[in-house]
Amino acid sequence: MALNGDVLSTQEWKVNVTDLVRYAWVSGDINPIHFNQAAAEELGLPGTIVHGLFAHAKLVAELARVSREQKLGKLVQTNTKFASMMPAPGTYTLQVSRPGDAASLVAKVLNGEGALCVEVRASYAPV
Amino acid sequence: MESLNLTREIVGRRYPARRNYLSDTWVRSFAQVVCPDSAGEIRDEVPEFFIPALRDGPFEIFNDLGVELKRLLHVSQEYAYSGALKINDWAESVSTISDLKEKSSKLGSIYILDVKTVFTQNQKTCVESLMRVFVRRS
Repeated sequence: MALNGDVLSTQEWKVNVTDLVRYAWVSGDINPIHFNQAAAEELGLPGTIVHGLFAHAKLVAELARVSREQKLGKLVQTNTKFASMMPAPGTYTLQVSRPGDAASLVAKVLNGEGALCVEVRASYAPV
Repeated sequence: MESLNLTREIVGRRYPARRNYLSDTWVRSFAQVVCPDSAGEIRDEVPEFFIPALRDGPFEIFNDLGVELKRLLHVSQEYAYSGALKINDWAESVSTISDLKEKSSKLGSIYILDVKTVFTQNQKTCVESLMRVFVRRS
């Protein structure tokens, strides 16, 4: 059993524009700012950016794995905040930790400088 | 901008139900992109990480409101899971504009728009979502 505040999982996520095209295909989110450099620049962005819900989905999948290991029970709620854009291609860190509440986990995407991009707070109920 | 339709009168507007068939192929394809290790573990229930693929119907809503995508900033998303969606069955989702506020921020004058969506399968509520976006006025 992990102690409160412990980091339970850390992994690298390398994401490129091909990944974003594949996500657009399976999710139906075909906003071109995610895979077309010219379209992104036209809107004042530095370049293509990762779909926020792609990052959310990635974190929720990682939360599922960690919550099984921690035997936290059934997922009942997720609260996701999109803190900053994620340029692609890019390399990010996925981190899952346990906050003070024993029945919850927090998953984050951090950029290369360690700044928060996306955060998911997940709550669990005993099965 | 002339077509932007963001007034308090839109709060409570309900959009027609959307139906999605949750095919095994679609769910596994999504899993292959998001988390390849999990694709082999999928059985008869849709994993929670798949729910964003159902997408709440936001493009239709923003078109209806005259909001260009470039004016949007997705700031938060909540999901409450009360039951698992089953694979190889239909799911229905109904979206409602649940709140609209206007405020000044470092981004300039913005609207804060909340869209609530209820996902059901065979008349049973499985997931509820609340999407919050900022809409820049200019």
